Amino acid sequence: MSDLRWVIWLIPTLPLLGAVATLLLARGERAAGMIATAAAGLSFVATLVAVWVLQTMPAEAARIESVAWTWIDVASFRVSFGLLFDRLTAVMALLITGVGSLIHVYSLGYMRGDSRPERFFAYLNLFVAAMLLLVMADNLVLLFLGWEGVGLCSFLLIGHYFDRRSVPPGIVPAEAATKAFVVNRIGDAAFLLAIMLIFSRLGSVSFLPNATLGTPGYLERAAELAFVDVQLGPLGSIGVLTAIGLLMLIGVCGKSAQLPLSTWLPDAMAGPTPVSALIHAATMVTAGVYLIVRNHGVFSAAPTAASWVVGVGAVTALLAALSAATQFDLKRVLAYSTISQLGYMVAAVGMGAYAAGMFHLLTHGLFKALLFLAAGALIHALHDVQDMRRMGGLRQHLPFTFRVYLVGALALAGIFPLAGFWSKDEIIAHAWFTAQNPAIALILIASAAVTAFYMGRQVALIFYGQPREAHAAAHDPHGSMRWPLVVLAVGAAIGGVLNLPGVHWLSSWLEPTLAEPEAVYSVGKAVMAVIVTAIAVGGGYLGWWLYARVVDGNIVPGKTDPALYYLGDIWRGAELGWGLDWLYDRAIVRPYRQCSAFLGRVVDGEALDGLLVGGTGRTFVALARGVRAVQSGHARRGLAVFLLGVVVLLAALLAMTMR
Amino acid sequence: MLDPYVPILVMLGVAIFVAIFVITVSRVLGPQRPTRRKLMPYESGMEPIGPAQRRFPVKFNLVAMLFILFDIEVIFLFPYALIYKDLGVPGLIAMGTFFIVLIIGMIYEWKRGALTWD
Amino acid sequence: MITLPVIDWTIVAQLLVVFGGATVLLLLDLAIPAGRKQVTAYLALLVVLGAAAVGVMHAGVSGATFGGTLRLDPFRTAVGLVCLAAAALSILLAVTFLGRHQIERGEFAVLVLFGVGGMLLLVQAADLVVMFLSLALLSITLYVLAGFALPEPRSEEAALKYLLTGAFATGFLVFGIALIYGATGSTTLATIAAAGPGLTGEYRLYAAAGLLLLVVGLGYKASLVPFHMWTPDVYDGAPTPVAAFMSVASKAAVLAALTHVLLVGFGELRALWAPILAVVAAATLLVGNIGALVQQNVKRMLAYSSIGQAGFLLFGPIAASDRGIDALVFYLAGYTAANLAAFAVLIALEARGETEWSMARLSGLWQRSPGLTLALALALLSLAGVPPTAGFIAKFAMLDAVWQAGYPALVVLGVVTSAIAAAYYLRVLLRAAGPAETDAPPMFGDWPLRLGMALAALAIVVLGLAPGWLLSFS
Repeated sequence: MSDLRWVIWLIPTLPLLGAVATLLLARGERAAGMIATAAAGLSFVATLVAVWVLQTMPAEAARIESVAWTWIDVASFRVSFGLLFDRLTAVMALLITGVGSLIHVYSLGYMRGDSRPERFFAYLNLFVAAMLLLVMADNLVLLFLGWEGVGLCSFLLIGHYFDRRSVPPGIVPAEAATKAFVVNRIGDAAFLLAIMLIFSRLGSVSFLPNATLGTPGYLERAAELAFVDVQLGPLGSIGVLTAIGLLMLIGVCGKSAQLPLSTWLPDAMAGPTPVSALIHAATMVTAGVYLIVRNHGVFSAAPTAASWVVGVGAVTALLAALSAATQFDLKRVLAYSTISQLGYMVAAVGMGAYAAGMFHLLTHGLFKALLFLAAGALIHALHDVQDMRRMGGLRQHLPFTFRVYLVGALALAGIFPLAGFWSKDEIIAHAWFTAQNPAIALILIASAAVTAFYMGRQVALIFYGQPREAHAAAHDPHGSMRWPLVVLAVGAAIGGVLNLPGVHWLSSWLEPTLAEPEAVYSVGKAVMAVIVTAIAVGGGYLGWWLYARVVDGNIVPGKTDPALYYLGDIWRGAELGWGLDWLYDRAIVRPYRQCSAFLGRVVDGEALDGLLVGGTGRTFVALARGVRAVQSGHARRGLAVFLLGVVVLLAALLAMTMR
Repeated sequence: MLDPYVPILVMLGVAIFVAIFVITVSRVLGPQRPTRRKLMPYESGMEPIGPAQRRFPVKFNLVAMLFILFDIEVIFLFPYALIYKDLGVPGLIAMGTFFIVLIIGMIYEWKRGALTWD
Repeated sequence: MITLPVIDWTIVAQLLVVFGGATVLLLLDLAIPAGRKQVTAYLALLVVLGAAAVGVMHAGVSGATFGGTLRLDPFRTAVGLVCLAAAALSILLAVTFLGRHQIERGEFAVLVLFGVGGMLLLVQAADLVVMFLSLALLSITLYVLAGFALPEPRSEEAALKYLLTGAFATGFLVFGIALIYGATGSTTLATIAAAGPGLTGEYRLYAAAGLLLLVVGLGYKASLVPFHMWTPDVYDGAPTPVAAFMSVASKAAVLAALTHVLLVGFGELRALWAPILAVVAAATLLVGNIGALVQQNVKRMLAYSSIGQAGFLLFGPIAASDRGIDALVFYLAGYTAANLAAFAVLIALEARGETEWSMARLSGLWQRSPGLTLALALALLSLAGVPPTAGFIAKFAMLDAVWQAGYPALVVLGVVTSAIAAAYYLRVLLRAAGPAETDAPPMFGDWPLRLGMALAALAIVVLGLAPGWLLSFS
């Protein structure tokens, strides 16, 4: 069915057109929502068609490549504007358009009464388009375009409530948006350097050989460079692939909110809740995982870089899970939980468990979107209350929300037989049996226990115990906010069938792209699964029991958690995200501001003024200012700097020629 | 390689030194009894009648500038006068173009009123 | 019999169109009544378009005339076209601005024509004396243009400051030319290059010092640090369309001249000038971008940002390769489009009698005019180097060129300062997207302004999406 190959161009183009149409044509939230939702839904249909086309192709050649035009063509630097739709991309595209469509539908209800619905829906569509471009790009530069595009949309959508001074729990949306953008730029800069290094050493930025441009694919060349070094001057040397991998890892840390660049994601919750669900849980933040999987050829040939990836992922998984256990804001719990789960995925793909990582990415996309949307339903029902200390006992008022939330929570906690159980178990099993790295496996198991604990705590705080505030008017969502929750709840419940042990649909579907040996089923793994589940159940029950039964009466709005009394500074540290924000503020933000303010004064001449004329001359200058117009002073200073510059440059030249 | 210039540098140093030395010595050693008359610009007893810098209309500047402009351009005529036969017709065309441009400038300044005094 | 030099008319055709047109227009303008001076501007626009057409016609021409003092090649043609495009757009942006500010005088268009003529001559110059001459021509027109809002004191102040510092810098330039002439016995770049290998001892030093002073004189015009101090004051005081014109066109011409001097005339001394220039580029990037961070005045912010961009432009000659030259042309084109679009937005919001261009005046722009905000966003994102705008490709190509030339430190610095730059550009955009803070200032949206803005914005997008045709011209 090669005739239908053109359909892949529809996938990113439809939401792009939707964004433009929404911005230009739509007046009023109904029109905007309808156009945007239709665009996202049609894109999903197009993806389904493309997947069907892919299915009809032989497994070894199951990919659709299409080059629209030559984007950049300078000497040997050739970049195409082309799409690549292989099985890996198909998985990502299905998640993006599928969950994306559901969230569009949900937003129809959620954003009712918003003051800027046209912008919201246009940006949401633009985000879907950029994210699709990211996963469908056939080269790194185009991928980078999508990478920056999703960052821009994230920035715009976090700042959707830019006119509010602060949103719970005391975040300024405009500042949160800027923070997300700036932190991401750090990662982006490293990623850009990685791209340049790849081009200069491997001679191409295309993933696969490109017949239209005649460029080779860099992935297949990567292995040749396994033992080549780059010189770093006095710092010694480092393997080329290691350098590329580490630079990419920094980019991944920014986009996927891994330590130490994780600080932007909790603040990003200032955006509307559907945005948190789509961008900051299900899709954009997984771009980093996708990047590593796409570049698996580089990482599998650079063990040093890969082990850094594993370390960063595992440590992030544990520390972020601990942070999640200490939050009282409904969405911040989920944000830290997202960071932690992303840590699982990053650790998995770092160990070479690409299929397992993608599996967890998929199931996480389903159940975390579910949790966020259900959280949105709660926030709606309680009229913008996000503080869990002001909830409690809500399961009678909101039975539907309670049930779907419980499905999501159990799936995230990894309770059999929900989706999270299968995917998380596969990662832990890989760490223990295949990678034979018990330390990492133990960290991940500990994280799983903490994950179950904080979900138990959250469910207890929201739905159990005594009502701490009266929410008589609260009611379950209906209409367009209801049935996406049902669909996602079903997905979160049965998502595990995608990759059941022994069947491994997802692994075998991805096998031609990833060339990863199929996981073997063994008794040891089954035992492992039972143990891990038991730990998770224990952790979850502990969390529920502590907060629903033991300390229920001690939870007071505005007061600290009773656990602080027992855990002290450890609790406080976890609550504040391990002080990273504080550290960045002291070590970077403040010195930077002071430095730029100081330099600003120098550049604007204040300090130079003092330097040149000195103390007693100041009165003279003031006199001269009074007598003459302002300009002579400025021009004189400019000329002084000018002359100083000439002298310095001449001296440098003289020194260089004399040598 | 800058060796030939060393004497100039020495000379410069000596000059600066001598100037400073002489002024300092006379200031340190000489008696100083200033009176109003001694401090006047001309010690001959002439009373100053006003500031040395006097204002005059900016129009003078304009005229002076225009004069210099055309004066310098007319200077090109002298070398041309010496070799106009050698240059022949092409030379005439070139100088003609030059003069047309000059005349256009002239017309412009005339029409814009740069030549009228008020 | 003295033989006159043979003149290749195809090479000077473009210059003849511009200067001839300007001279004729000077006379014609006298006959146009005071209220109808827009006619002069449109006629000037025709002259510029004519010159551009001549340039396109001769796109493939390479050659020299006037004894090798004037040259034409694809690089020169391309930069010349960038200058002409900048002039055309500036005239479009200025047409109604001047009337609104009651400074509608026919000389504006004529001065722009003479200025752009000087720039074309500077780009085509292959001889230091011609270079000096053309630089003086373009400088003098810009001095007058900077003071064009007479009797507005800020404008007069800008003109005087520009004149003072300009005269100062020209002194260095002439001294440099004299030193080079003394060392090599010539002012023609080709001859200087031929004399290069034979230079020994102090002659080598004189040539290098002369080159340095030449770079100082040219660098002043391109606002390289530390010769940049005039830039914010002059951009701030000059009428906004003039600031727009200055910030792009003269920079393009000067960078082309600088490239010729360094690569053609003194390729021999590259080991000497490349590190110095790299340091200057680094200082320019840092001072420009950090200086822009603290500005509350949008015009001053754009001035500092243009200093920062000059640092990036310098990467072209530093790379000293075909790739660097390609990147330079592309960067100039993208920067011209983006900066003109940004200034166009300011022009659309500037009523008569405004003095401080404070950032608060942009607040709430989105609510009042999404079109203007879109143009501003495109311009600033391109200046910041965010894909898919022209600025991204331009920065990428430049970084790639210096990377290949072996300056990884400059690449890192370029990326870091771009990140800093993104912060202050975004700050402006945030203000524009945010709620209004002051009383809504008036907006002006006449068709020449809109056309100019739309063309510039279109160029940003087209260059960003399909840069191939411009990137690989050489």
